[in-house]
Amino acid sequence: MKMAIYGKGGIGKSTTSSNLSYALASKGMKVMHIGCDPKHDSTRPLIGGRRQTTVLDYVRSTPLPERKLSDVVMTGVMGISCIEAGGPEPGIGCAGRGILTTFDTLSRLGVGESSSDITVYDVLGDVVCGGFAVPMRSENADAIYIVTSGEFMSIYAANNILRGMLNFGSARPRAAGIIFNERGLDNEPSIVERFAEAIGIPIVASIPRSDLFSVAEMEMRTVSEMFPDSVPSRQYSKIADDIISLAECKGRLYHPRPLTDDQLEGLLSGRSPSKGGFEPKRSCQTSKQLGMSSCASRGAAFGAGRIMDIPVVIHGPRSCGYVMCHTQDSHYLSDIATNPAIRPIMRNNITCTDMSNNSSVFGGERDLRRKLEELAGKGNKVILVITTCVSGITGEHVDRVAESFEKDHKDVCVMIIHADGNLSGDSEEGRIEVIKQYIGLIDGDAEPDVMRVNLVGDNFMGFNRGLNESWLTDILSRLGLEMGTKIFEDCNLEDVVKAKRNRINILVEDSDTNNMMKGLLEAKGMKVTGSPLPRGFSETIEWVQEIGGLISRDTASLVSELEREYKAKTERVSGIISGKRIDMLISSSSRIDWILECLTDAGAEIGKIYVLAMRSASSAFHSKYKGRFDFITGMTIPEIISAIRMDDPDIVIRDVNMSLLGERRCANVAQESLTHFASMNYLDYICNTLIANPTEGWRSWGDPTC
Amino acid sequence: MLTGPDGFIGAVMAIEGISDAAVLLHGPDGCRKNLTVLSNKSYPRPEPGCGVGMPYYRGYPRVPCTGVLSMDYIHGAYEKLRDALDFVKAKNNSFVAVVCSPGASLIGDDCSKAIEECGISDKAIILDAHVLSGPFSDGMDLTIARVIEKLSSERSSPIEDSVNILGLNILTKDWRTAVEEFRTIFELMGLKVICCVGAGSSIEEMRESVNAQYNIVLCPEYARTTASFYLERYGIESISLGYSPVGFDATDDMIGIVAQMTGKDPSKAKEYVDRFRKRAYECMLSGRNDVHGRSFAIEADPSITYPLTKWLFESLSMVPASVMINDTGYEGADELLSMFLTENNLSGCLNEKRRGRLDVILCDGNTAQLEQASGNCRRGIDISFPSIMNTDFRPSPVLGPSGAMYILDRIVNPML
Repeated sequence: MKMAIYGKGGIGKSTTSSNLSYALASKGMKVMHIGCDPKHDSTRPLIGGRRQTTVLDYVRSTPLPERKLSDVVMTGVMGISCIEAGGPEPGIGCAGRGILTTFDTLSRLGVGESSSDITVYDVLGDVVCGGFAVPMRSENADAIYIVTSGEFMSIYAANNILRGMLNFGSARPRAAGIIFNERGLDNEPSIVERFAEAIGIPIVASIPRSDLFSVAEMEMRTVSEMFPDSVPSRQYSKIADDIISLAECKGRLYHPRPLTDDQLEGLLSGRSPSKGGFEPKRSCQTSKQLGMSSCASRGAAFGAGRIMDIPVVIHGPRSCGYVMCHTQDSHYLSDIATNPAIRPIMRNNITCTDMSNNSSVFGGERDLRRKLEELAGKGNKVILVITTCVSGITGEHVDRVAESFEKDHKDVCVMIIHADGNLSGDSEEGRIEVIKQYIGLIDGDAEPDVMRVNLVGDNFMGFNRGLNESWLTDILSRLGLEMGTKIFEDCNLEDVVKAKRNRINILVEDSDTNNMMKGLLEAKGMKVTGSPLPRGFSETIEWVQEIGGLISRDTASLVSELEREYKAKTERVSGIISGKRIDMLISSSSRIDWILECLTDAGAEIGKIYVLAMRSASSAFHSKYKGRFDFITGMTIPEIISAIRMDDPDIVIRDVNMSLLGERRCANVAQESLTHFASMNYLDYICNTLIANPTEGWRSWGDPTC
Repeated sequence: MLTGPDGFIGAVMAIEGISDAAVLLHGPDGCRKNLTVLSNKSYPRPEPGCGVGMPYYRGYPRVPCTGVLSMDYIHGAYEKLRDALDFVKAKNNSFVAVVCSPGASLIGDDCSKAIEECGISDKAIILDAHVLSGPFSDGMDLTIARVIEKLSSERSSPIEDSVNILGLNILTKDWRTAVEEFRTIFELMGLKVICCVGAGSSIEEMRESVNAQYNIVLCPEYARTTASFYLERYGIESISLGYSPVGFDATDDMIGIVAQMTGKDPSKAKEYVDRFRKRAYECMLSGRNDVHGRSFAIEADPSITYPLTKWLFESLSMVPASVMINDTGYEGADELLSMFLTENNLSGCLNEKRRGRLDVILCDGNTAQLEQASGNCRRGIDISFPSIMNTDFRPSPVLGPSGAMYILDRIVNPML
């Protein structure tokens, strides 16, 4: 049988539980006593004050395969098996996590299979979080005793514990009784009796105040051992008899009926509530609520890794570090595969402090400091640290580590992104924080003196697709310009520091985040030109003229050249595309004007354009063709599928992966969208899609009956 | 890649390797994304409807997730967990594992209670990330052992001439070919493979596995706890080389030790390997290959690193420049490798970082591709996950005779 002793801190739980363990053992029971308070003094009177290795110290120092139950068990008086959970230093790590770890470790070490008749858990004060409530879980406690005095805070804590029990409610009753530790206050018995009556749980014993406790404590023994005939000892003996009855299924357990706050106030002001009326709260965030797709730490790592020679430290578990490294590698490989303008190098700048479970219990600041030392030792002058949910929840004082580190390494700068996993927001928020810090690295005193173009974007994912960069470089070179620094993508620290020397700054695309970047750069004296990079034909013409004006260059012949190239293509493909009816199914974040332009220039007939709303506020749909074409919003996916079936277009262009469209001829919205080359390229793609066999034969390979 | 996966990812992928089991991830969606992609990439399973419109699945068929949000860390996410379990239950999986992400495990939600309330206590386990912060291989191994333990199968009577294969998983390079090929090899020896535990096996096969006569361990670091559990609970002994059958010689060694332990005739299995060896020999003769004295670097699990280094050195006369061993906590093969390198005056390359341009780098697929693209080697060879950008249409395992052919193909062709 497993029983837990709960109560307010300082109320005498450890004294009570050690005396109960002694009393039970003296009645012939095999007892295991487990102290769960981080200050680990519960077993002290049972083991004569000897030092005991706590479970958490043991976990910290002993690898999993080498752990044995006997290493953490000390045999005390009357053969009682004594275990102490231990805990982190005050103010460091997570004590709740420590309790979780202790219980899991003990379970793995076979505590449940030990030969004890009764296990007594001495549990720490208040049930402040899930970890502290672990001993209360049904698998860990068959019976729960609550120790209280008549003091308000003690009654308050007792009531809270009952509320906790209700939250962990199981079908069977588990409250065994109240142990009344008298303080000698006026009306104290009356208050406790009324409380007991209201909550429907009996007082099983009253332990009077006695100097014998101090005497026994000095001797590092229990009162029950030293003064077996004393009043307190007889009371403990009585409770022990009750426990044995419970173990033999003869005693009674109760369902807790805790009080509401108002009832509690009333009780202490002399009123007697008839019965407790507290109902446990249920989570207000329902199951159907959508979670976010990615956390701020991941977004921060994604953005941070783009300056390739700044090491990025993920302060968290290894799985976080792995996911971020892996994500970076996957994106980069994908970029390399499609963007021939990239000259690949090994980036390898994301690393991790590998916070283990021990770090989340005891704190991971030492792990972080060690990692910073390692990176500084390799000659890095700027290091970026990103926190994760684990370091966030455990309240790691990362700033303090950075400050102390910088004091010892005057030439190293440690930047911190307090992303805290998804505690601080989603991916975009993490990325924005990194951008703000990185913009701070730009030398604001530099003079713009080089005829180069910086590109400004919060992410270059679209830009890196396919031939975008090559096409843009072609147009820039025809304007007599060179590519400068991509702020921030595929660049190094020196590029960033000197970025202000490049005379022209252009947004990759028009978005809230990019406009925020524009503001930050302009505050540094870097003027960002009005139009973002051009998509498709007509934007390219306007953009070329705008940039030409900026650098005082006549662009008339270049414009004619681009027009000639584009016109030749639309004429060549119109034989296949002209008259074809095209529906579109897109997300609200799609920018499709350039596609509509080239398709209509080639003679296509645009049917319905179904727009699916994205969650992000920055994804509001924009098109200059509203009014000209039939944009439809607000339909569900099944409704759209059905409408497309009815409409029966020649081809559906979509950027929403919609396998439910079946074998209908589909094309993707291209991410290769920059310059007039994109329009020409896209027209070829649509031609091929119209010519290609609409049915992909491989789809039947999985079904041998086909 | 500077940071490899840990036990948490190992635990999730161990369950994903069981054909009719499912993981419910109790944590934020951000933790799920990579796992879903990895699972689908390694073990795609056609699932009609595949989670479209289903809460907690959100359009992806694998690794549903409770989607813990910031306030859940404060107030707990029990209700979500409880609700999500109902959706997972509705899919009628034979087995369910609730895995708490490292962050969510700090909340302390009562997963046992949720499982009990959902009515799936008989077929569900909880894997709390805090015990899984160890090496990736341990996460896999401990999880598989927990599943076998939970199934609590009774050993009726051992099936004569039957074995299980241990140590493979769905992140083993081209695990399907490896499973198929070793089944064939052992069957040629007259041994029936009951279960390839954790590599596409079903729960029923795992139940039946307790009746095997022997376990054959192909990658020891992934099966230490599992093998011990089979021995202690069911008395099933394991046969292991202490390293993996990589290259023709180690595959021969594997067949030899299995024959010795089971008393079976190895000749047909050896003939099978010889057919590959003969073809490899003809291929080597057919072109002007130039591998002698070429440099290579390896970064892999210990049980792969040792036989691969030895094979490339002895059979192709290539020279290791860097041999890095993944941290798995398994030291058996480390000692063999260290002895081998010392005997051949090569000990300087052990744990030596890769420097300069090498001829061949054998490592995880992503890094191999990046090393090759960056011009750091003539050929980067994918011998382990993550290799998210690569799909194996041709047989491309690392283990067994097909593995030897894959490695030769990758090494020799750029040297011609």
